[in-house]
Amino acid sequence: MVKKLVINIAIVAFVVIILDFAIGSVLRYFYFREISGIHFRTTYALEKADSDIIVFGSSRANHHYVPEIFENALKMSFYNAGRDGAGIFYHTAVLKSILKRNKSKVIILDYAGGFDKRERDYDRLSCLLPYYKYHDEIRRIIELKSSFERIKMVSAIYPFNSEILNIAIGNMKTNKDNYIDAQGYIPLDGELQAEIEFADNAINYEIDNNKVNYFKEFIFIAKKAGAKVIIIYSPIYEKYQKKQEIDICRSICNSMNVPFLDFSKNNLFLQNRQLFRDVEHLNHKGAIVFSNIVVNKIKFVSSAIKRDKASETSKIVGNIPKV
Amino acid sequence: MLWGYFMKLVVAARVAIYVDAIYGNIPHHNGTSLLFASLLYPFQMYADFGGYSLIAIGTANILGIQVMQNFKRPFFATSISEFWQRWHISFSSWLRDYLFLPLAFFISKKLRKEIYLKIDTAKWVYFIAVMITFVFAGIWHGADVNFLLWGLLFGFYLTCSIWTYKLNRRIRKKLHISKKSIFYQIAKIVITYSLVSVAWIFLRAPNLSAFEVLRKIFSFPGDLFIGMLSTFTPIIVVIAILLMKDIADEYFPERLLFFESKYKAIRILSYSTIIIFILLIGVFDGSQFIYFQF
Repeated sequence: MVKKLVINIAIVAFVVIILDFAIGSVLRYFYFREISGIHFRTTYALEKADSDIIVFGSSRANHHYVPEIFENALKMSFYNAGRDGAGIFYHTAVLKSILKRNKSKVIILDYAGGFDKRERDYDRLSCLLPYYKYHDEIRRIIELKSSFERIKMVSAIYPFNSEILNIAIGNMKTNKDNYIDAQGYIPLDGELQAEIEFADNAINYEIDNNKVNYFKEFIFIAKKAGAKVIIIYSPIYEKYQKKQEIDICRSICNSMNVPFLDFSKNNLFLQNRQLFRDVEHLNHKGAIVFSNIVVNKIKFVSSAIKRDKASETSKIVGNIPKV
Repeated sequence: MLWGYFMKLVVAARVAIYVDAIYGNIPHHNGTSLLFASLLYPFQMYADFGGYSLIAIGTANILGIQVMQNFKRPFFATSISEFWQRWHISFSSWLRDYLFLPLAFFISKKLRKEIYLKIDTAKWVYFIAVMITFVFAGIWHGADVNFLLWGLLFGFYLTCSIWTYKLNRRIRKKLHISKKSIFYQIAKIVITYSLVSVAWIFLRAPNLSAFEVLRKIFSFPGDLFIGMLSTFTPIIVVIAILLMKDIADEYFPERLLFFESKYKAIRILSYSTIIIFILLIGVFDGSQFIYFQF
């Protein structure tokens, strides 16, 4: 009886291993053949992006930085590596992969992810699972998700869990034709209809030390690679008294001599609802206005750094004229 | 047991992505999306709780302990009372044996007249006993007004079905509808499912927002929220798989056998396919939910 059970379990395990390998291989093949969509952009950022300026961040980065404006004004190539819902762990992983093969001149991190402890921010690392096998440099980051990730990766299907339809869509030419992807930048249309609200963000959250450390690591490895690093908090359509993440960002940037540009209280945006698509995202019109301002600030920061390399970057940022 | 994992990790978790997205943001969704989420929620409950039950039953079986079936394809019930004979059977049979029947016996002893307010005493006995039983069942789920309302609603449904039994029969005879007619059976299944879905709005909606949900369903139509097609489509697919399995078990119990097939190859392929399905579309973390919101 027990012998029969063991044999049956072994046969099922064998069939599962064969099917897992076969289906997983097919999914991997098509995943890396995608020609548009979120997978394609992540693969491009990790394996191909070699621009002079690279923007990192979540959806706010992805929808706020217009490549054309940066390229025309600064005469440098530009790639927007922002990804919806991505956090500091993802940004650091992508940065590591990029710096492994390329030396970017300017690295911009649009950071609004916060430093509070949230389980789901670790879950978001699932999107990096397809790269686990061939990207040693990001394995440590993916393993933050759970200590069992290494074991789960035995399955060839697991990295592509729940992605079968996205993979199919990403391989379609019609999707590429309908999908506006300008060097990673995805424009948003529509205008925000709601009135500005006062967000009470004065609550002190429990700080996730992993996030703080990875934020510092991001700046450290970018600086070590010889890039100019600029941390930006892009415009938001809400008024607030205090934002803990901004205070932490500012303090870390000051201590690491990196410019921190905070646009959260910029009146040009706070007084122009039509530049926003929703409270947290600028529409294409707003992104153009914002990109032009960032370009001017980069010019200013660059020239100031050249003028006086010895001066503290925090002072420079303090002296930047209000827009 | 494996089917239990499929129900829990694939069906329940996947349906929860949609239901949580809608019910987590009631003010921002229209009646159509709320209606759709409300119709999906019973599937989430069934797959979640039914899945857990199957895992527990399977584990107990491995240890040589026989445990009673807890869910018997509840969405094929043709009445609310039949629904409770198919749903959470261990709990509903306990309620019947240790609360409802003793209560009904006690009340019938107290009510000595044959008629009260022109209504048979038997109907009053049923009404009081069923209401008390379901109020208890509601509070058993949680000490909240929502659960109390949920219990009262089920008590009301059951009372109506008993009190209007003769009326229903008369209408059916007048319209020449056979009790065994397939359309009549389907209509009863649909009505029962709809009533259960309405009651469960009170379980799912936070605080007393169930009334807001109901108001929007009846007065604020609009386009169905789909979010990301790649997240929405699997929800429909896994519900279809669950329904197909339940249809096979309910109506073709001897013919469409997969896990209990007499052919070893079919059994092995069935188990392997379920494991592969879990790996392919199971929800193992919160990342699906996150992306569905963007």
